[in-house]
Amino acid sequence: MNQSEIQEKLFPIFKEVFEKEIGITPELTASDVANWDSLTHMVLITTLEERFGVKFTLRDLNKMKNVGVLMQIIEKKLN
Amino acid sequence: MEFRKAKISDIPNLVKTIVEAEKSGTSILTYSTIMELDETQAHELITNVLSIEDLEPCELSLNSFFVAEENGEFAGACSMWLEGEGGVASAQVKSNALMQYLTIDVIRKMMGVRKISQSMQIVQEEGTLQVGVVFVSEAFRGRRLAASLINFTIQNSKSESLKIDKVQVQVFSCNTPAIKAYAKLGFKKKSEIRGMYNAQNYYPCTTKILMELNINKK
Repeated sequence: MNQSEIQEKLFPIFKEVFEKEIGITPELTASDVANWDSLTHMVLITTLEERFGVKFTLRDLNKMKNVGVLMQIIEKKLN
Repeated sequence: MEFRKAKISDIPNLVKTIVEAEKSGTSILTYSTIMELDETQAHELITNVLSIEDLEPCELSLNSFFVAEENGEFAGACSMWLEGEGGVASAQVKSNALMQYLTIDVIRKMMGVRKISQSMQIVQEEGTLQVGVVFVSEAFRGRRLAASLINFTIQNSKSESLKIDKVQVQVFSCNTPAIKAYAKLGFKKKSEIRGMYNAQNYYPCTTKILMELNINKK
C-alpha cells in the first residue's frame, strides 16, 4: 500500500472517529482538529491499528507530529 | 531542604503527588472517574507510565519531576516541562503512554465521556514551560515549600532552555490555596474555561483557570 492509498483509507476512519469530514493532508496536526483531544486520540490510534492490522510502538506514536509522519509509519509497517 | 531531579526510587511518592494534586483538595480523581478505575488501579496505571524510560515530556514523564527532601525524607514534588519539546504535544504523549496500559474496552468506554472531557480542555501552548502537578507532604506544609520548589524548578528549566519566557499552569477554580500560591509567585489569570454541567461528576470542579507567569520581566 502506498501513501496515497493510505491517505484514501484514512479518510473514512477520521470521519468515523471525529464524527465529521476532515480534509486529510500530510501537514495536518492534532491542534488543527477541534475534537482531537486526549481521549479521541486514543480511539483514533486503536481504530487505525485495527483497520490497518498494524501495531504502533510507543516510540512510533511519539514521533507522529502530523498525519504525514503517521502515513509514513503505516507504510513502513505494511511493506 | 534539598531539591533534585526525580529518580526511579521516587516513583511511589510521585504517584501520591499526582493523585493528590489531581484531586485538588476534593476526593474526585479524574483518572478513576474517566477511565472507570478504582484508586488502586489508577495508582498502578500511573506507576506504569512513570516507569517508562525516557518518555518524551508530559505530565507523567519521570524526567519532568523535581523532588524536595530533607534528611532523605520526601517532602514534596512538582513537575514541569517545555511544551512540545519532543515535536508532539504533551497531551498526545500522555495519551500514547496511558494507552500502553489500557484495554481497548476501557478506551472505547471513555468515548462516552469525551464531550465532557473536551469541554474541560485548555490546550497547552507550545514553547511555554508547563507546570503539571505540585504537592507538599503534610508534615512539611506551612513553610512555603511549594513556592521554593516551583521557583527552583523554573530556574533549573530556564538554565537548560534559555528561550523559555512564559510559565503556565492550569488550576481548578475550587483549588483556592493553589490559586493564591501561584498569585503570590506572580502568576496572573489569563483565561478560564467552564466545562459542561455534568463535568462535576468527573472533575474536582467544572471551571479551570489558566494562569501565566512572564519570566523575562524579572
